[in-house]
Amino acid sequence: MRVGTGTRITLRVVALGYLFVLVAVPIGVILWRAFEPGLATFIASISTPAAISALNLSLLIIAIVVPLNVVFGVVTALALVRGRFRGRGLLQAVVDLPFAVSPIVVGVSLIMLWGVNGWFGAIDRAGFQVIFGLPGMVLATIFVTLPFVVREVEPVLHEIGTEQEQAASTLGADRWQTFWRITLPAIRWGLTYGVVLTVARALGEFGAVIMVSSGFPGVSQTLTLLVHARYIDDHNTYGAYAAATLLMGIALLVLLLMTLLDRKRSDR
Amino acid sequence: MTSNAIDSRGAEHSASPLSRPGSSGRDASETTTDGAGEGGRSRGSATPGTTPKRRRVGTVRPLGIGIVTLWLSVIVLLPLAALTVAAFSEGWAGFWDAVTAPAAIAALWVTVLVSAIVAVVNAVTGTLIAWVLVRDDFRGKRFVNAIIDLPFALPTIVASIVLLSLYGPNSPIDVHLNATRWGLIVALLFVTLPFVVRSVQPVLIEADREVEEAAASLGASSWTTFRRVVLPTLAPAILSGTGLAFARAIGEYGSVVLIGGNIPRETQVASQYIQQQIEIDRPVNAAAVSVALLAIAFATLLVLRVVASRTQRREERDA
Repeated sequence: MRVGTGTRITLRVVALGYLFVLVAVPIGVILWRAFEPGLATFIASISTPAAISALNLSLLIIAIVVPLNVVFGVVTALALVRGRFRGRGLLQAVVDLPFAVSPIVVGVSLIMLWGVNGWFGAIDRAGFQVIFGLPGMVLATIFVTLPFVVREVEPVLHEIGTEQEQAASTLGADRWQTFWRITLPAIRWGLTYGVVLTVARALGEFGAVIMVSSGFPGVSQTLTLLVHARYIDDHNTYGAYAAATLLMGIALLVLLLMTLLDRKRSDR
Repeated sequence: MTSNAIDSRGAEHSASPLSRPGSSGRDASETTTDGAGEGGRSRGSATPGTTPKRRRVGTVRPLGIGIVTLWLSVIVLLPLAALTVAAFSEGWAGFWDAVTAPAAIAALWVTVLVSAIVAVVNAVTGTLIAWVLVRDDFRGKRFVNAIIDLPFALPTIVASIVLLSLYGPNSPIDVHLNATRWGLIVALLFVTLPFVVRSVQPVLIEADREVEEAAASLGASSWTTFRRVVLPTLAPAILSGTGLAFARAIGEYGSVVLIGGNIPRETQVASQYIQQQIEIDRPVNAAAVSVALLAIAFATLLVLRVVASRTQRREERDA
């Protein structure tokens, strides 16, 4: 389609103007507000005891969620790609389910299952607190991040087929050797990409986690909950801007990593 | 055009985490074309001595399938089952009363209305941005292309704070969207920005430009060419992106919680209503509205899948 220069410039200006107003200006303003009082103020605001423990809690949740997602995600991807069993289509659909569920609904569902009056309420009554404790936040985070590793590893498994694994097995390798030496190296970039997506989402999850957390500063507050609490409860607007800027910095780092990994994967 | 900056593969991948409906169907069909044949053949043609070894690789043991089923059940299915049972714990009438309570209806209505507006705006601006990114050329295009993914990478609560810093109570430009429906719309436009752009972009890259040139050489104006040639090609992608944006918008919480203001009947969206019902200890109401919200999301995704499979069939027939 040939477009006149005038039209082309108009379209460009409209598109860039939209992005500018919606994305660039707000981000510019928040950066300015976070750093305007000086770098020292910013650092002081993100290194209060509550902020440090929030960062630690977020990292702890990631440290629990990522290995679980890696192990079960790879097993799930293998089963979905290689398995021939009834109900496979159903499992495919279940893996996609978390994308269609609102984070708040995730939280409510977990309360209905693990809460004191839920189906598994006996666990809570026996003294092992799930909802309003770390396990609840971990379960919520796993729910929302479950599809990432599966969906990134699956296409790679399709692509590589089973020929190399069959060769390895013919040469006498056992299941584990085949997996460690053949399958894992082949899926490593897909897996890494899935892990990066998982980390980004786990760090940024808010709706599902706020429903199942007691939200005490220094105890059960993740970074996202800290941003919310500072703005709403403490009326510490600057603190909220600073913490949000920190999260944004991490998100940008993740975005950069994603771009690099994507390039690496397409080069292969 | 800087092809590697926005190669279709990259675009597809960046959209993949959230663009679901079409993909699992595609996965399933891929499986039947390569996996099944291989597994079956190796078993059939292998000599008796090598059969056990070969079979070990191509198939998954029942243990693996059991683990997967158990994992998906505990994490995803059981919570949703518990939610549904709780929603109907006072019978169908109880569910209906909870969903049709004036405040619940109002929240659902605000949610659907605002999300529909956001979806339609996205259809237009998303297509426009995709077009500019693919067909136009200017300095800094790669950078603009990278910015599109930012709303996916940014935590939703950060999106909320970012927008408040500009349009909130201390707005430096004196635009106050705090606690208005406009605030909701801007927040949702921010978080759903990538959907339409990333689904239209690869299609536009692949689009056959010769047809467009033919139309132009036959005397069609560029607007006619766009309407009659380009738009029909892009329509399925636009629709899929718009639908995904809508599905995302109706469930959104983090980005609207601060800027929305949570005013019942005005700016309170369904997710905020649900959260409020849990806080005032009305779990049945919360569960019922959750189920209603889920039903809307599933219906949207189902429509998308049906449309996608019909388009695919038509394409296969034409090919």
